Amino acid sequence: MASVRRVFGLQRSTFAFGAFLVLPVALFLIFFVYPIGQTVYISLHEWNGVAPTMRYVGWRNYLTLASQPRFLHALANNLSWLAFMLICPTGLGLLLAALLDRGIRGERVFRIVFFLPFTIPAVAVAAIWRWVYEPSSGLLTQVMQLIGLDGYAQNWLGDPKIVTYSLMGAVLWWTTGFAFLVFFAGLRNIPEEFLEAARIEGATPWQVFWKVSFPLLWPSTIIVLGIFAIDSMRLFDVVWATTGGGPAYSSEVLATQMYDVAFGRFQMGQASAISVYLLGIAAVIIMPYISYMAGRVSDNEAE
Amino acid sequence: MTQALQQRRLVASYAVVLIFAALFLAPLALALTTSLKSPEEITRVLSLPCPCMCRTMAWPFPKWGAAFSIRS
Repeated sequence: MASVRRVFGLQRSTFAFGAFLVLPVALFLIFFVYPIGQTVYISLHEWNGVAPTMRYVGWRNYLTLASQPRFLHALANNLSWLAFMLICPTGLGLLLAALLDRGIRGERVFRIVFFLPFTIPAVAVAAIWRWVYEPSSGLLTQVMQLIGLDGYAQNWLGDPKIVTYSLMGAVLWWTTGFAFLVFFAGLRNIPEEFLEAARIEGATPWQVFWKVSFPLLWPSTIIVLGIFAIDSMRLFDVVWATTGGGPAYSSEVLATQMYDVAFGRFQMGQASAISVYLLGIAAVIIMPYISYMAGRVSDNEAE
Repeated sequence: MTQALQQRRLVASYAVVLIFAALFLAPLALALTTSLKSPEEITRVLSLPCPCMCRTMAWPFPKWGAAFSIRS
């Protein structure tokens, strides 16, 4: 060891830091860098996943996908999911948190009720919502019959035009609890003096919320938006377990398409190209969130 | 702000929270009641046809017909 230090001219402390870094760096290279590199490598080849050799095809997989309506539709679905996740569960979670923060009786019970769906696994959510959307006797159809809107009942998961919106309803129910909890914790952490000062100045509850509480909720909002953006890009389980990407690929997202192409059609090259596309899009979308969080960490360290 | 207005706002908030609580609980209640049904009952319910399903199933038929037609 001493000779190694001498050769590289390292001090004892630098050497110790380096030694401690070996294991995490090795794990990072093995479990993060290598799989990404391997995926990019496979995406440049034609391979069925079992054959001993791959055929180099260059950028063909990427170009084929870019001209494929199925891929473009899945990409558009992913972007719709992104917009939906950034607006609907976030907005509803904020609304519920703001309402409960007003000191409503039974607040603890409501807190549990709103957060409960988030604790359910995705496959169970899919099973529940397949029952809700069952077109002949599902909960939604029955409720619509009860209030005289049975003429508007649809084949919620069987109609290609509305299936994505139906899935969004299920995901709204599932994920709002997370946004609610983060916003509620954020609201509870706002010092009472700030709110009291605004009230003394004559601000209405609406003004207190928008001018005082909401700006102070910015860190919570960034966390919720960042996590939902990531979720919308890696969305797979609910879509796969509810519709399998159907009918006629209409509810498909990039992750379900990648799975189908890889393990349904055994076109590993094209599936890898989809995952590289997904990685690139996710990186572009999520980068502002990561840079903001990194900035916060360095600010905290500076303090 | 008057006491009455404050009271009214609290009642309105409570009503909205209650509606959302019902919406959040309904699928869970449905899951609970479905879990108590026998497999036969579930199969019977699922075998019932409904008009909207027929509507959805009807639209691909002309396309299939076109796909299988013999071109001269």
